[in-house]
Amino acid sequence: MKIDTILSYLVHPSKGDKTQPMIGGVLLPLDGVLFNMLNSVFCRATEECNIEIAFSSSEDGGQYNACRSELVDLLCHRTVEKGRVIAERLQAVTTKRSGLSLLFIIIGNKGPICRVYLSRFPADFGIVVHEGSVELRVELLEQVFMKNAGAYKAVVFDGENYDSDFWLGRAVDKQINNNAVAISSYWIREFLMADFRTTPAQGSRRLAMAIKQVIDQTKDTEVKEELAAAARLSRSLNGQLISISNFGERFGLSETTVNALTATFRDPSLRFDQFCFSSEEFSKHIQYRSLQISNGAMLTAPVEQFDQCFERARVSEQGEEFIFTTRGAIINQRLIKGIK
Amino acid sequence: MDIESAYSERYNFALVPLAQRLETFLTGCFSGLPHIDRIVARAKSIDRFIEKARKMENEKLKYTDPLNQIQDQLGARIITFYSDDVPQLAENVKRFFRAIEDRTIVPDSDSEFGYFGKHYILLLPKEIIDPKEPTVKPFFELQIKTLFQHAWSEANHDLGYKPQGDLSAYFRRCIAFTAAQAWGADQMFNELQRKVAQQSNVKETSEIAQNGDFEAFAEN
Repeated sequence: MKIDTILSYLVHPSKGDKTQPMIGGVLLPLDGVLFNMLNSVFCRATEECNIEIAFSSSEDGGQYNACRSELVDLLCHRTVEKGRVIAERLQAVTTKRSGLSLLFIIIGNKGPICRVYLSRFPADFGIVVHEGSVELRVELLEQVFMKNAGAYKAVVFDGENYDSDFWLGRAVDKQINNNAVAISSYWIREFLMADFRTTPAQGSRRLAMAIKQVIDQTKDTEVKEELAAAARLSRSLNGQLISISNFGERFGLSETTVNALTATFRDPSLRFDQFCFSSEEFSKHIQYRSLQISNGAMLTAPVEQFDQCFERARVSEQGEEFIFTTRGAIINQRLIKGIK
Repeated sequence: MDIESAYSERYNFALVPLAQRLETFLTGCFSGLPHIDRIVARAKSIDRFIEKARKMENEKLKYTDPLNQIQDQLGARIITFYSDDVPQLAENVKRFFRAIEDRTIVPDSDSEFGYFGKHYILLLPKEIIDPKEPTVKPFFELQIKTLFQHAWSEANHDLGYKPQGDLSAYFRRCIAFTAAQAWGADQMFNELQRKVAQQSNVKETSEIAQNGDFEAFAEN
């Protein structure tokens, strides 16, 4: 991917301000140390930005998103003025808490594919020292950017056709290390007017269906046990951004189990697709846990209460047989036609 | 490769299998909701695609890059019994899909009858995309229609898009008349199902209907 334009803007926190400060902007040279650093970030942008997002339609439902249109306009003209429109958009949603920042807009091409990459680096303090022959001069600098080159927000969009592409992008927020947030709403919803590509219901249903499918099909009892336990504990994830991969990490699933979940997908990369977990949707698909016993018995209970409903004790240390005990009043009994 | 060959390849190796998976996916997402007559998904036929790709607007081709710009290469339709079901279905669409377009289509004027329907351009769910198949645009069109809206739009599409040229004023009036009839049937069935739902006693409802006291029933 070859860079052809780099723009940079100083963005002040001005959310809610009637008079927005003028934004200075500059076209940066395509060589030098700064270029080399930005070039390496630009080339690995799609790996770095690991959360898929999609622009939202306009409020009246029209196929229009103001931020997307400004980006497309910038791609068509590639000038400091067109980039400033985007910087102004960022400035108008930036609070004092988010603070002063430096916005880079980098545009490049590879064959028919065009890429636009935006990254926002917050301002920081720094100390600069000048060493003379007899004395040291120490100064505090207030507008230092990229002091921590790993703390930034970014988003990247790739596409070929300005009319139909650039609806989907990938974002990252390296200033947040909190799973409950994962990416700031300020960056995705307020600035970009976008949302996660995978909806909470879609992602949670996908995870639940994968768990159900693996439990139904695998003969590996450990895999079944791991998934049943994870499903029971999953309520704690409600509202958090997760992927199948970090669902596995959080509940200590073995590689075999995560691989079994991944194998249910046509696209193995779905393992890393991030979505906001909805326990309501998840529990619609996984409500009951059922154990089929070699003597013909079937034990069924709500997934979250299964271990309280049935106590188990291994018959012998080496054997695979268990004694299950349960206690309660009979409130209903049914004959069931057949079990798959 | 010309457009027809490129689309044929996409149609056969990507869109047709994708449409089958989309139909299954939609059926799963909407299962359990009442009054759904059917859920169907289709790949836009090669003929229809070429016809659309050649469409002119202001003496110029409407689409300069039809393979990328035509968004209904995959289309799906959910057909429901009553117009009151549409908001609930629309809510479910929001839960499971990201929309880049969400329109309620009604005729231009309140005194006209014609096409009615809820249309979306949605992002394809990632679980139905197979990376081994040719890449397609990540969108599909979803329509939610009542039975009568569906019936009218199918017949209208067949009659109204004949290549012989513009329909006569009389034919256009006939089509508007059928649209009004379909709209009226929708209203009446919707009203009926509301009334029936309000009846707490099913037996009582059945007695009123059997007595043929239709007007009194409808007015209640």
